[in-house]
Amino acid sequence: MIMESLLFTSVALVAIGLYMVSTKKNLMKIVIGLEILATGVNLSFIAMGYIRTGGLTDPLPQAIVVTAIVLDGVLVGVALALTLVVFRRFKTLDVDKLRNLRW
Amino acid sequence: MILVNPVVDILLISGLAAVIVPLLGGLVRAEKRFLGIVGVLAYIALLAYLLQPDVWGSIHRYEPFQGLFSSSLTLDGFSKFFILVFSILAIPVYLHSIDYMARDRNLVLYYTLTGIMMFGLIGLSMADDLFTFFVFWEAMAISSYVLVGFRYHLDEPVEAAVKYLVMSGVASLLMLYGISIIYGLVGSLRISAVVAYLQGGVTGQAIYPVLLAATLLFIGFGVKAAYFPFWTWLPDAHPAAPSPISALLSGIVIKAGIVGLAKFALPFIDLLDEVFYPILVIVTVVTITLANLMALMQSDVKRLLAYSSIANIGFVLIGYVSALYGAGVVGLAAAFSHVLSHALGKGLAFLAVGGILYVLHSRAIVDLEGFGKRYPGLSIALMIALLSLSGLPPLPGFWSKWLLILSAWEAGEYLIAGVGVFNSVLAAIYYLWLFQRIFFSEPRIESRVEVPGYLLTSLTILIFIMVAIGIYPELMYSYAFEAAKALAPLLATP
Repeated sequence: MIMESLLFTSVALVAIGLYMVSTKKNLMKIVIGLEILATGVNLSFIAMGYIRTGGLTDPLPQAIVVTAIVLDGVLVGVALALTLVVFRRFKTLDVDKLRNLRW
Repeated sequence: MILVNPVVDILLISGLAAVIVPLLGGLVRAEKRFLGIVGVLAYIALLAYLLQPDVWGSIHRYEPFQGLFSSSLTLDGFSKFFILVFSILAIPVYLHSIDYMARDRNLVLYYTLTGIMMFGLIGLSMADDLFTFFVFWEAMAISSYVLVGFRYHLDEPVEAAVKYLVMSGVASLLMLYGISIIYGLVGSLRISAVVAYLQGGVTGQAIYPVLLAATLLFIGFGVKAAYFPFWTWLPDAHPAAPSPISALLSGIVIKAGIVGLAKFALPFIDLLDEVFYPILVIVTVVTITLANLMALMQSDVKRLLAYSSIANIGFVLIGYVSALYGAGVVGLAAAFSHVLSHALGKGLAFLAVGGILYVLHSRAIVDLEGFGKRYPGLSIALMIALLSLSGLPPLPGFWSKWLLILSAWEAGEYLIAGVGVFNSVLAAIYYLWLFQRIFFSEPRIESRVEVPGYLLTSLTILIFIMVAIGIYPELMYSYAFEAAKALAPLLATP
């Protein structure tokens, strides 16, 4: 039971993150989407560790998740700094208003 | 001379190049631009270290944190080849930065970030398990986001950096999701364990998670390597960065995706070849053709070179397709020699364009007309780069494209070989057209700025290496074949 709910939550978080990154126009919301995506991925590691050993005893996913959280922190730090620069330069956070930003 | 272990020593040398800069930056008051010398010395030392007989001659392994992370790094033919490519390009880029970045602020930050990016690249080429690879990958990726937006007082770099960060950040996270699925399936992230699991045969329901993991890895590496349809960030990000960084990004950072694809995704693609064969062929054909057509339409010289980088990634993929479907080691060696020749050619092209930007302050192709008469040194450098990229003999670009098309032909991929030949001609058209406008038109802009010395030295080094490889292609082939042989156990077909 706990296994399915962990896996399901991680898939849902990844889906929500992808949806936010691809549809939202506000840069702040895109950064939040990135963070939700990262959380889903980390939860997936924990779930996989649980599946393999039937408990939280395998050190590999734990070590990976701790490192991945640090890396996400750096990524979001850079993203927020860029968001600040964008706001100061363009006085908007709407990605559609930026000239070259077409994806 | 080996200090601890060759793997540790190499990481130490390239790490020191990043760490020493902020310390020295505090001591040096004036002329911070000369901090670039640190990088030049570090990568010369790294090359000298790597080419020692007892380091080059054998395979070295290093496994820190035994049991906990199951992290492992290997210095085999494959990683030696890529460290060689990365270091050879890093030296002229650092030299070029000394003059090119002289008027910028925050030079300590610039050299530190460049150092971290190179450290990440060198580490990920040695990584032997997916998680170590991911850590170095993020070190490289995050510093490259900042470097693209380094001139944040301008509009274009900020926009390009945001676009690059969001696309590449999502791709890295999707890759990590794929890695978590691989961990769930295999229980270890060592590439040897993953290959053993895959070659043991995957049947029934278990094929679907493997397929999902392979797709996620393919997307993750694809955004960084910028093949179709994940390339949209590249034509914005590469021109927006300062020119030496454009040279690094186009020359070697996109090759990080190629490294990952070769080492970690090819075993999956090899297993799932019924699914991936059409995808890989379509991706290759569309990447080369569309990028070349887009390059034909550009009016900005750095954007043109950026599109041509995408087309060249397509050429590298030709090597992978033929390696997977018949040619084996020859295909991989062709792909790797194209990595080398493209890194040199595109690096030189971007550095020469950086010199042009330094004296003209314009990236429009129209303004370059007649440039060759005023600045022969820069123009000859750009000419050699363009001739090599368009694949004219006897320059490295010709030798690698020739081996690529030959390997595709040998594998029986006649469509791919035909597309390769067609696109070589297409690329030659726009390179030679650019060449003709630079040398045989009347000058439009008068400029009195002299080309500085370090900038010319950096171009001379690259020209010398390219001519040397052009005359003795065996240099390139022997290293590339060694790299390909190191990867051969990962493929079921020898």
